[in-house]
Parts: sequence; C-alpha cells; structure tokens
Amino acid sequence: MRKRNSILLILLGTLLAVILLFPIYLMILSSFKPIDQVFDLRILPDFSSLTLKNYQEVLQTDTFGLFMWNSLVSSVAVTLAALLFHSMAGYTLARLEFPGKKLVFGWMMSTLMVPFAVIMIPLFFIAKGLGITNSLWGIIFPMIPNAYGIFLFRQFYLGIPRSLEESAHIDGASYFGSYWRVVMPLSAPIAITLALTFFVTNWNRYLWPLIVNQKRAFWVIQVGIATFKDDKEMLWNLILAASCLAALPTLLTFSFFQRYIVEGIKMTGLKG
Amino acid sequence: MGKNRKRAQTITAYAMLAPDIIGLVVFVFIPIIYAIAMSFFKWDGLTEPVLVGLDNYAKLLKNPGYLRSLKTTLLFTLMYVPGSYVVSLGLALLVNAIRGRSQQLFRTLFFMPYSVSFVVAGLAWIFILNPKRGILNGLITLLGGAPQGFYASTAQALPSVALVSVWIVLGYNMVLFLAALKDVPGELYEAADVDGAGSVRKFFTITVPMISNTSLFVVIVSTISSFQAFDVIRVMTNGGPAKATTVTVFYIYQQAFEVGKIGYSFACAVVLFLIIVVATMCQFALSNGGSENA
Repeated sequence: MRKRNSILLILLGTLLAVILLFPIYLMILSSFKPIDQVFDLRILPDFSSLTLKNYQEVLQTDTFGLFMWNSLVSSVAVTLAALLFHSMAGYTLARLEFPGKKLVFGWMMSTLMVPFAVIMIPLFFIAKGLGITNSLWGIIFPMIPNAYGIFLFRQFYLGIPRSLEESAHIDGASYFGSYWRVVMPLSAPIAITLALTFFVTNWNRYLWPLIVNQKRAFWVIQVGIATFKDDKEMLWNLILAASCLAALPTLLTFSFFQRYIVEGIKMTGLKG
Repeated sequence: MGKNRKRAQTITAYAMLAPDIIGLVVFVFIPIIYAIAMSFFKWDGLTEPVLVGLDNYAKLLKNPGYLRSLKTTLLFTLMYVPGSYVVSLGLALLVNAIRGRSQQLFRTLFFMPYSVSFVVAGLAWIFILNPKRGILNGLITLLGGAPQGFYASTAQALPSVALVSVWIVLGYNMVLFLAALKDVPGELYEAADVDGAGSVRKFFTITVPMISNTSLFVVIVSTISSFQAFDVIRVMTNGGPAKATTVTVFYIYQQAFEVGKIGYSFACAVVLFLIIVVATMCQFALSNGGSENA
C-alpha cells in the first residue's frame, strides 16, 4: 500500500515536472533549430538538423555582446556595493550604541513599504537631476539601497558571539577595525546567500533599466531581448538563442547554488 | 565607557551607516515625497510645473482609462494570487509527501522556472502560445479543437499573462510552503491517526492552521507584486489587445513616458500606493480576526 502510494506520487511529480519544465525545454531545443523548422511541432526533433548557427549569428550582432556586458557589469557592481554597505550598516545596528539608533533602524525598515512601481517615475527625474541617466551608473546606484539586506545582515550579526570582537577591542582595534578584520570574514554564509540573490535579481531586472537608459549603448540584456521581438528583422530562432544566452547565468547560478538561493528565500519569509 | 569613546562610537556608527542612509534617502525617501508633492502640480517634465491643487486627483477619479486599469489590475490579482497560492501549496504538499532522495530532485525541478527572468519567460511563452504557429494551438488542433487566440485575444490576454506570472513564481512560494510544512510537528498527525482522521480532515485541521503565518506572508507578498505587474505584460502584450492588459503600472508608465503627463502620473502612483497599503492592512486584519475565531 505504502509502496504503491509512493510510486503514484513520483509518477504525478514526474508528470507535473514535465509540464512545468516544457517551456524551458522547448526554448532550449528550438534555439538550435534552423528557421524553417523552428515552429515544427514534433517534440523530439530531427536531431541531425540541430545547429549552432543561431548562436553564432546572435553573437555576431553588434549589440548582443554589449548588452550582456552591461548586464554583467551592473549586476556585479550592485551586488558588491550592496554587500559592503549592508554588512557595514547591519553590523552597526547590531553592535554599536549611538543616539538615534532605534529611529534610524525603524526609518530604514519603513522604506520596505514603498513599492518600486510607485516611485519609478520620480526616481527617473532624480537620476536625471544627478546626471546618471543613460549610463551604467543610472542602473547601479538606485538599485543598491535595500532594507532587507540591511535587516538580514543585522540579524546575522546579532547571532554571533561578542567575545571575538571584544578581544580585538582589548588589543586596541577600532570599531571599524574589528568589523573589517574580525566580523567581516565571519559573514561568509549570509554574504554568499545575499550575493547570489542580489546578482540574480539584478541580472533579471527589466523595468528600471528600461526607464533610466533610453540610449541603446547602455541597455542591459533584458531590455535588449525584449525589443528583439518587436524587431521585424529578428527571427524566432534567433530570439530564442538570445533568450537562452540571457538566461544562462541565472540558470547556472540556480543549478550550482540552489541551496543558497532557497536559504535566501526562507530568510525573507516567516516561519510557521 | 569614557565620553571620548562614546563619541568615537557615534562617529563610527554614522560613518558606517552613511552609504545606506544616503542611498535610501536619495533613491527611496525623496522619490516618494517628490511623487506626493508633485502630484499637486500640472507638469510635463519639461516646462515649469503649475500648482493645480487636487486637480490631478479629480481627473483620475473621472478618467475611464485609469479606472479601467484599476479594474484590470484587480482582475489580474484575482487570477494571480489564488492561482499561485493553490498551485504552489499543491506542489509543496506533493514534494513533502515524496520520501527519500527524489524529494530533493523534485524540489529542484519545480524550482527551475523561477530562475528565468520575466522577460525570458514572456518570450518562451509567446513562442508556445503563438496563435498561428505555436505548439499549444498545434496540439489543440491535433485533438480536434478550435485554435485559441491566447495573449492576442482580448478575452484570453489577461489570463495568459497571469498564467505566465504564476508559472514563474510557483517555485518561490513552494520553497516557503515546504519550509513551513517541515515545521509542523509529526506528533500532531500521529495523534490524528489515532483518532481515525482522514487525510482531508488532517489537512484542514492540522496543516492549514499550522502554516497560517506562511500562508499570510505568501498572500500579502503576491498581492503586492500583483499590483506591480509590468514585465511580463510589456513583453507579451504591451498592454493590449485593446487595452485588455493595461494594468495600473503600465498605465502610469504610459502617462509619464508616452503621453508626458508627469504630474498626473504621480497622482495615479500615489493612489496606487494607498490601495496597496489598504489592501495589505485588510489582509492583516482579516487574518487576525480569523485566528481569534479559531
């Protein structure tokens, strides 16, 4: 009875997995098909006709590499800056005593209530005022502040024993010195989780890069592939090849580091 | 602690907080204040703003375009929130019931759609749902049905967009539900077994109440994100056909960047903000009322 149940569950799971992963399978498969077969309905194709030509063609366009590069630079920059800033802020809020601490913390957390869609237009005018529209800075700077990141670092630092830093203090280290030399190296677990989460989020970001950079030279890959569709010259085999390449960094991140990303999701959720 | 040391600590603290304080002030706090302040002005983004008081708000309450966008957003929420809730809880229950090594495998598989961006997901699904040549219509025709319009028809565009949005997010919600299910003490089920309770009764009397916090979190987060839907819509339908998928964020985007009514778009955004705040508070209130009755 039990055995039969578990076989049924696995069959059901397999069926659902096939359905849910079919769009990804079809996207990858069709990206290797020549244009005259791209809408061929056979699920198992004529494998001999599969080709790398679509990828070669996409990589040869003058903009694709640029869009990928812009995405890489901006998402890595946001990730690194966010890790540094939020861990400093989180440490300060967890350990140091100073006037206005509660107020600063409460105010920071209150920014979580502001949905991005509500501030996207004013944010554009502020970026314009700062002269960072139509540059990668425009994508990077506004996406660094993140109260969740601050909160999660603070929680992490509250959980590690004070004794380590205290011995550093006795040795005459400053607050910043003990943070930099003692606490930061201990932050690896939370830092890896947040780094992967920030990277994936920013690599996949579409709306803000679309708003802030109208000049093609500063487009990121998400904006780039979204317009490929409207380009009459662009063919589906190429759109799909470009989409696969655009999804590759996040697909790889998820395949190798899923544990950390799942951990990150659980931290933002509540228990119970 | 000496006075000097105290002062040193305060200076260090604010120095270390400075990057994030400046960032949050410039990129979150000022924009929301700016949006509220400028919503009382008529402004095209280029010429001098003119103070018009509540004019923009009076206009938006009478504007059929804005009201329709709110209605479309609400319809989208009504498809997306229950849809993603039921599917991801179902998947979590299934994964949780599968024992041994394959549990991990199924979790990984169901989680995969969450790794692709909204843009890539939108493109992959247009390819499948393409009314003329897509594989789904091919399948429907093969089985003797009539081909459907999907995202290209006014009736099916919003459900299509909701479907894709649910597909992306179900891995995320599933992970949250799975964590909650793991925390339900096994003894509760054993006790219920002794009482001879069936699995449906166990689900409603044990599982549902024990995961209520996570349920509330998922519902609130999905509601807030459903009010902000944009990416999938922009890629799949561009607000159409015949404005069938012009949700509020899309409408605001158009008013600001295509029509050039900046002040008016701020008023629309402020009202959207109020709606999100009220909706969130209602959900909290409802859930508290529910647990008091239980």
